[in-house]
Amino acid sequence: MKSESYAVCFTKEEILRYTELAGVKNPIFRNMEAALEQGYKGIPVPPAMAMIAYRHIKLPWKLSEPVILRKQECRLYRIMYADEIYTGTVKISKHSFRHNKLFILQELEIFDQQNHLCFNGISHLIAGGVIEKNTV
Amino acid sequence: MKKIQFEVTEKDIEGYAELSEDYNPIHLDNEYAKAHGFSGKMAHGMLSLAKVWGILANELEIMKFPAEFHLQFQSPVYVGEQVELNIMEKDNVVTITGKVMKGRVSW
Repeated sequence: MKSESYAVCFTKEEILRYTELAGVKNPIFRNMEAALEQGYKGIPVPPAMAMIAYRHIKLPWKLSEPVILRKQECRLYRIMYADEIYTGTVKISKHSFRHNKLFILQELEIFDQQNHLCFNGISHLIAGGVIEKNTV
Repeated sequence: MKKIQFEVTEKDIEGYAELSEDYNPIHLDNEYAKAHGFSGKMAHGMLSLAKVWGILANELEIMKFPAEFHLQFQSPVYVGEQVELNIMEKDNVVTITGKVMKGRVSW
């Protein structure tokens, strides 16, 4: 199962909130001049923050609770920037029942406007089940 | 090997829930978490990652934009718990083990 593609944007304000939660001191994540001085073309999106893109993507399935994240893999192929528009899709790449629990691999991919893959995040989840809403 | 500590507060969890719109009650509702076999509300895994990344990005220049990272969540991090990170760096790979004062968690 795969979601449709949705527009994804990380705003400067969201990056500021994320870096405050993370306790990051580097000014490149909050100050445009500092970012440009260090060779970035804008305020960069922190690497693992890409996972909040889920908020922009309507999944054609629902995972029954409780949902538990047991492993996470993230790959950053290109640095993303604040206030730029990307596209994101999510798919369930594999699932199986073991010990009366559903084990799922849920994969987020984010592409830039030139369709270059920027980020890939594979979440290894345990859930009560998958309820399919519709398929693409 | 380097050792650094961080704490996840209730405010952190609420802040991450708002930012990510991940309102899974396992992170926000004590009774719900207990009903599913946990001791109470726990941090989002990706919030723990944000904390770890924040520490490493402050400490190690190479961690500003790691090419990839793999995490294993072996035990929950509950509200108010201190996590101690053991950080080892070798051949462009940083291995971090996080240990909670009460219980244990690893990445």
